[in-house]
Amino acid sequence: MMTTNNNAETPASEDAAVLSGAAKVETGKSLITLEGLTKVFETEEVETHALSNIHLNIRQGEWVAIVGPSGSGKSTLLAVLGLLDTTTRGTYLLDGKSVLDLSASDRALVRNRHIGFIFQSFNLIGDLTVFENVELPLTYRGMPAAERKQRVEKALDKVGMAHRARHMPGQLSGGQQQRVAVARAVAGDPLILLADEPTGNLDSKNGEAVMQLLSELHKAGATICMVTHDPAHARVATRTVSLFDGRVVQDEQRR
Amino acid sequence: METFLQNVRYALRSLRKSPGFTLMAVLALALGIGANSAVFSVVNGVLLKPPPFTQPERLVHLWGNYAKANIHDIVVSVPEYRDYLTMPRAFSSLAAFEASNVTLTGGDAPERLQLTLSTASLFPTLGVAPVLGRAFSEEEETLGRDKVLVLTHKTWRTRFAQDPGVLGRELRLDGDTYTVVGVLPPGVEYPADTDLYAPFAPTAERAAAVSRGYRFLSVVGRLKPGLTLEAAKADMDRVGREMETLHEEYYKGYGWAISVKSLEDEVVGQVRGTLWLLLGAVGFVLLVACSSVANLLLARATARQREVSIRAALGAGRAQLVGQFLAESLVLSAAGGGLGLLLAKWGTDALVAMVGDGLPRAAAVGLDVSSVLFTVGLSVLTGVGFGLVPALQASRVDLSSTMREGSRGTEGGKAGRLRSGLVVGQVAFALVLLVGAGLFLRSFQALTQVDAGFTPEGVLTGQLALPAVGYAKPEDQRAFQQELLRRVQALPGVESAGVTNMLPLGGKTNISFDVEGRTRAAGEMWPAVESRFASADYLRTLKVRLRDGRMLQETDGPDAAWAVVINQTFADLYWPKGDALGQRVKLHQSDAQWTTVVGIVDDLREWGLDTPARPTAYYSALQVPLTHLYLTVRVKAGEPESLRTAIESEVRALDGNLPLFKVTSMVRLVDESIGSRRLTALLMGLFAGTALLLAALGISGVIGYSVAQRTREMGIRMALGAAKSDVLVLVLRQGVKLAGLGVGLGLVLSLVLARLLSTLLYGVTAYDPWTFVGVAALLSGVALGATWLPAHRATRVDPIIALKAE
Repeated sequence: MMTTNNNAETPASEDAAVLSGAAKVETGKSLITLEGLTKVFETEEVETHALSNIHLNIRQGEWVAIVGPSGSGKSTLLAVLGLLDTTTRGTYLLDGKSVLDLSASDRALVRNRHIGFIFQSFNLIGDLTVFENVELPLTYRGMPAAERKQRVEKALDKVGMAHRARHMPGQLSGGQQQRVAVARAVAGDPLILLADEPTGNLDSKNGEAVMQLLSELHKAGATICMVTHDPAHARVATRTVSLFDGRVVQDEQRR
Repeated sequence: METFLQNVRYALRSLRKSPGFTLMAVLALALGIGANSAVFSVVNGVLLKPPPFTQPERLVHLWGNYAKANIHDIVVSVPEYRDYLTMPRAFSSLAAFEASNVTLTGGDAPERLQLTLSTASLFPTLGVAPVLGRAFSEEEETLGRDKVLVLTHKTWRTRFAQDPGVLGRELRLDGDTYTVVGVLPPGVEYPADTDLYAPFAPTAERAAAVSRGYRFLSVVGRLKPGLTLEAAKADMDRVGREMETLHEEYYKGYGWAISVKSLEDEVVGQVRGTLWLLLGAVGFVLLVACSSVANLLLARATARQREVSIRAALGAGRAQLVGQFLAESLVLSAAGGGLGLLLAKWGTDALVAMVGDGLPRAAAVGLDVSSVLFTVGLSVLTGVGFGLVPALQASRVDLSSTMREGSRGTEGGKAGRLRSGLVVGQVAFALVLLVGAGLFLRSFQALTQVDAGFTPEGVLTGQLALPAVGYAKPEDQRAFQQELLRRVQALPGVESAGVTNMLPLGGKTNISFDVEGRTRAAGEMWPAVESRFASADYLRTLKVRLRDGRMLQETDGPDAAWAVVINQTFADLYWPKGDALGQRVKLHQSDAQWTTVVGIVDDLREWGLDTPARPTAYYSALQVPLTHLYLTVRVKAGEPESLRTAIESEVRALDGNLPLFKVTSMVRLVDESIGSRRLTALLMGLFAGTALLLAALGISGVIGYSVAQRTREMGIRMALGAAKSDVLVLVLRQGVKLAGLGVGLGLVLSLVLARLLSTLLYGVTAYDPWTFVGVAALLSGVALGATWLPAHRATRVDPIIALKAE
């Protein structure tokens, strides 16, 4: 679980490999390594530790559920893992490369190529069709149109939404929207899927369906890191990390 | 490119989903871009497009000046033109011309055409060659061989349907037969409004050395290659001095000098300042429109923060986000530009129609390739200009907000300040335009209140030109004039009628004269006055007030002692003791006699409403008969136009070959004389009104948005006991603060820019305090009104709902 910060020794060519998405991940190898990760919100009078000295290692193929009460730092941790937020101290290695010191545009590049997001509120763009929503990250990647089309169709097929490709998000149910969001997350073949309360906005039936979809993806080899406050959903994951007041208080490996 | 097209596609879809926003933005941009394109089309046609001459920058106009008599820019005589041909060294060629009116007969009805009599050197000097046939030869500058014509392209097109067989065709002009020998290229109509050219063949009398003071020729020259205007001026200064030495009696002691002016300045100099001013003013309108749209986009960007965050979370870089927003602003500006182009087409035609004859090169004005390119360029610039800041602002996202359920866009301090800053800018620009419009309106108002010295209402005017054939002798001219007036005065509905050689507001005719009993000291100038030749009832027809003595009478005929009525300025200048009546003067004209001052009348504005009256004398047209007559007819009641047909038929009955042309009312002539000032005031008013509206919408929008953002705060305040009036004042204060800053900034800008207007104003200073104060008050009032609506809405916030909204 412990790793060393080898940022200074990372060859430039390897950095480039991470950014270009050319890196290949070996099964079971360490994918995410956090060491002493601390996030402090400072105001004039108060200093709040959102994350405090987090040490975490996620291996390829794992499904990690992050649980904890409100304000425990779950979403902040997921935001840091997704390079959506910065840290105050610590080390974050993604596929062995330090990613905390990257510029904004390089962070965008890493998000685009290596991370797939699934949000609680789906976060589909209302003005774009289902197809275009799934296509969006691939467009930012500069992928040729033909390859994009192929990937989007495959991803939509995988989540059973191919027949709704031309629909607008507003024409879909919540469950369908989340399936489209899952398709968008997997279309670019990311290293890891980050899911933030993926069933939080869904009824139980649709919630179960989405969990089923994530299970299938996991069985197919996907690495998933999921924030949830539903113990039943957390139990589906292979490992549960519990946070409290910004600290890891329990790390339970199930199988 | 594919990404750009995709961005455009998304932008179109996104804008379609917000029709209100899109409509507002496109309309604001269409107004801004359309107005700019229309004014640019005029500026381009008049000032920027090169005239159809070879190397036009080398063309100059030569004028005579008697500086000590304050007489400037006078035409030259034949002997003087001959001096110009031999003495200067600065010109590769020179040409002289005289514009005149002729009557074309042989068609359905006689027609007036403008014939320019020019030396054969005119076309080579201008650097133009006929597209059909030939130009004149020097041999044709001889009486008897001079009856050949070169047509302008317009005349060839409109009267001869561009028939190549027009060469060799014979035309009857003023009773003489002319043969068409050539046709000029399109656009060559110099001097303005020329229909035909014929060789200038001076009579022996005009060409005689004693006719040195008989000036009627305009002279243009082409500078030698590489020679500057300054060098030509120096050369002509030398020529002036040599002429003074050779012909002392004509020049010495009068401050004689020859001025050399760029032909371009001569043609467009008078309107250049106004046109650039209007282009600058309309640029301000575009700035206000852009600020408006930028403000709308900023608000929209705030509302779309979540979408931007999602895009960024999915890996969009800042450039990609900016590209997406810029695509939207470019789509908006393209739509605004397209609609603006339609507005510009309509606006350009309307502008030209409104200015009428007051606009030189009006024929060259139109929505051409340059105008379209200007519009396209302006649209792209505008799109990037108003879109970049909101796009940059929008792309600065809080990525972690994507993780927060239901997080809505709220405006950060920077975006808020930016929006407020844009509104302050809008108000400031609107104030600058309002000050400009106010000054021009007051200037125009001052002009309309000028006492012109006559009553134009109820007077119809028209022109007649008597040809040499049939009217060569003074008695023939006199007989025609008397019979014409007898017939017209006998028409039912006519109160009185008169003729003159030039109408008020019409121009200058300086003629020098001697005053009986006075000798000139050495170096003293001959006095010179505006000279008008008028029939007995002319001044009465215009209702000019007699101050002393009597008006001209029918008895002031050829056999009576010559009589003259002078204006008050003339009397005050030469006979300040009030003893003008009975004094005698004699014009420097070959057939003039000593003439007695018989009456003094009020001053008439003979040069224009904005030019103070000059000493003017009204001689009897029976004693100096006219060949070019301006007929004036006062009706007893009703519209003067109602008598037009009756008067025309009387003229036809008198001479079937004489058309009465340029028939119009005196009121219209007065209107036209201030047409360009009216147009400037009108356009500035329109521009300022548009800017005011946009600024008001801007303030209302920003305050409204702020109120929406502060709903919860308002609720808390009201829950804590704030009265509605407290909330009202709170919001109004915000609007007043923005408007106050804008007004302050605008006043400073206006004070700096007003200086540029000073030469274009009349009867009002560029720093007129009433205008500045009035405009500031108006704008503040409008701003307060624009704030009132959102402020009132803020007072209706329900505290409970506001608190629940968390």
